[in-house]
This record gives sequence, C-alpha cells and structure tokens, in this order.
Amino acid sequence: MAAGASWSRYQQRINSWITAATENTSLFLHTLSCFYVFSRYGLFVSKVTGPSMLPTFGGQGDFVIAEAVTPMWGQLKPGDVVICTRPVDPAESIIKRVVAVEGEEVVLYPDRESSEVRRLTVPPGHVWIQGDNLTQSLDSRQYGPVPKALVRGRVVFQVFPKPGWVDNSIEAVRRW
Amino acid sequence: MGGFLRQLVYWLPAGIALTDTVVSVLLVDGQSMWPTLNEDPYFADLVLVEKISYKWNHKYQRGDVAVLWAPDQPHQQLVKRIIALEHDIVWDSDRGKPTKIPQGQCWLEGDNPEASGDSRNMYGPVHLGLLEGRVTHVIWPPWRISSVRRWYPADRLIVEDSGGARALKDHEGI
Repeated sequence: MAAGASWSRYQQRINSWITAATENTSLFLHTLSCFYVFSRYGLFVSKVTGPSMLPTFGGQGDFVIAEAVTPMWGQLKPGDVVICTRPVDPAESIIKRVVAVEGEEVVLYPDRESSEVRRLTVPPGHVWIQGDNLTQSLDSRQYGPVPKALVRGRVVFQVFPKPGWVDNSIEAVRRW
Repeated sequence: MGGFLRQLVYWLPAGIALTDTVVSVLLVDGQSMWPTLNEDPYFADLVLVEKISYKWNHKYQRGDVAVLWAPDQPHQQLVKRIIALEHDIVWDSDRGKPTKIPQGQCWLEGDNPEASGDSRNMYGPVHLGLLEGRVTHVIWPPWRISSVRRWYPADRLIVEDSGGARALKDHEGI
C-alpha cells in the first residue's frame, strides 16, 4: 500500500512536469514566432560588412535598423538604402542604394567591363541598385537590375557606431 | 467564443511563421503545369509546398517543381519546373540557341509549353532568391492525391555543370 501511494505521487509529479514542459514549449514557440513575424514584416537589425557602401557605412561592423513595410507594401524610390538577397548567391544578403526604379533609364558609362556608353530601361518589377563606393562595389552595373521581390528591407536608422537616421534622399545617390 | 478567438490570435504568429518557413499549401491557378498539376479542368489542385529545401538548405535541384515570385510582378506567385541551374548551358527552344545560366540564377519552364510564360518566352534566367518553396504533393481533390515527382528533360541540357566546387568569389564581402 505504501508502494502504491508513492507510485501515484511519482505519476503526479511526472504529469505536472509534462504540463509545465508543454506550456513552456508552447510559450517558447509563440515568442519565437512573434520575433519572426516582427522582423520579417516589420523591423529588423542587420550588420553591414564590406566596403561597398563607404562612406555611408564603414563596413567594419556597422549595425542598422531596416523596415520591411516599404519594400512589401509601399514604393521604393531612388535614394533608398536597401537590404536585398544577394543576386549571385541567395544564401547571403547585400546592402546597396536604389538608383533607379522601373521605367527609368540608366546610363552606363565606359568602365572596365565595356568601352561604350550603354543605356537601358529598368524593366517592370525591378530596381537598379549600386553601392555608394562605386569603385569597390559589385552591383547592378555588373549583374543587372534586381527583381523587387529580392528586396527585404529599407534601411532607416544606424545604431552603431554613429547613431542617426540614414539619408535615403535622392541627393545621396552617387553618380561618379 | 471569446476564448476561441483569443486562442486564434495567440497562435496566428506561429501559423505565419510555419507557413513562411516550413510548409504551406497553395491553390494552383492556370494550365501552365498541365498535366502534372491541374490535370482536371474543373478542379484546381491544392498542393503541399515545403520551404525547408530552399529557405534553410538553399538546395535547388533540377526537376523540382518550384513556387516562385514572378520577376516582373513582386506580389504574383508562379509554379514552374527547374530545368537548369547556375552554370548549366540550356537549349533555348524559343530563340534557337544555347544559353549559359549565370551564377545565382536558374532556368524554369512549365510542363505545358503552349500555356506557360516562363524562362523561354518571358523571363530568361530567373534569380534563385525568388524561389519560395518546392511542391511535394497534390493533396486535393481526393482523386488527384499523389506525390509530385522530380523530372527534367535531360536532352535540353547541353552541358550540365556537375555541381562541384563553386567558383572562388573574388568579390566576397562587396
């Protein structure tokens, strides 16, 4: 009889452990999902590496905040700094500036790729992106216009090293 | 009733996270993948789409039936089959010449060439980043329940890159 009583106590403890574990797992999954939805459809933090956006971003570990609302439901405009899936490698991300949107004409001056002036119109559903550091940036000048569905966020605020709003105006577009 | 609604709101983010990152369903529209999908002219197929291969593993395979965002309309989804991957050379039947697929892109075609806008006649090579998920099964209507097989016309590929080491990225970090 003593054995029976302690077995049922043991069962009770297992049951309450299972209930607690289930509740905690459910809360954990719920919290994780909220984080996911918030960062995928709202705001997310990203780290900038590489020299392609000098002098706007140092590329030594700048942290920025980007919003996903404009690329998804609004209109991107020339001057916007955006974070995109890398066109040549879908596993990575890049940060560049929108220079032209669909319907606008882009003029490509002679560079190391070709020796003539080329003009092209940005096709529907695409944007033309370039790094601010034109001499050290792999961008639309090399891989062409980028489909808008690859754009994940528009950078609005720099957190580190110098906190401040990011200049997304058309005057910030580097042309040379 | 209030309790049910509260439960629904509580689990909504989890539902969104699940359909975005793991698995979702899609009602297929149009005849571009006939007879693989929408074979029955009166009943649109409902398919199961898994997101793990593309979003987590970035593993794209020739012959996959993929759901992707249209290059020219960022809010429109398409369902096509992957015929060729980056670095492959594919025979472009519409232009009558071989095309090399650039890095990071792929060549897609619908199984029904007459009713499909795809890489041949509309988009050319498509960025792999646009691929959202892989169609694995047809789950409705009941007489169409089956798995969707990986298949591709090997005769269309002139040179198939064996998928070995990737070219050194000399622009790493740029």
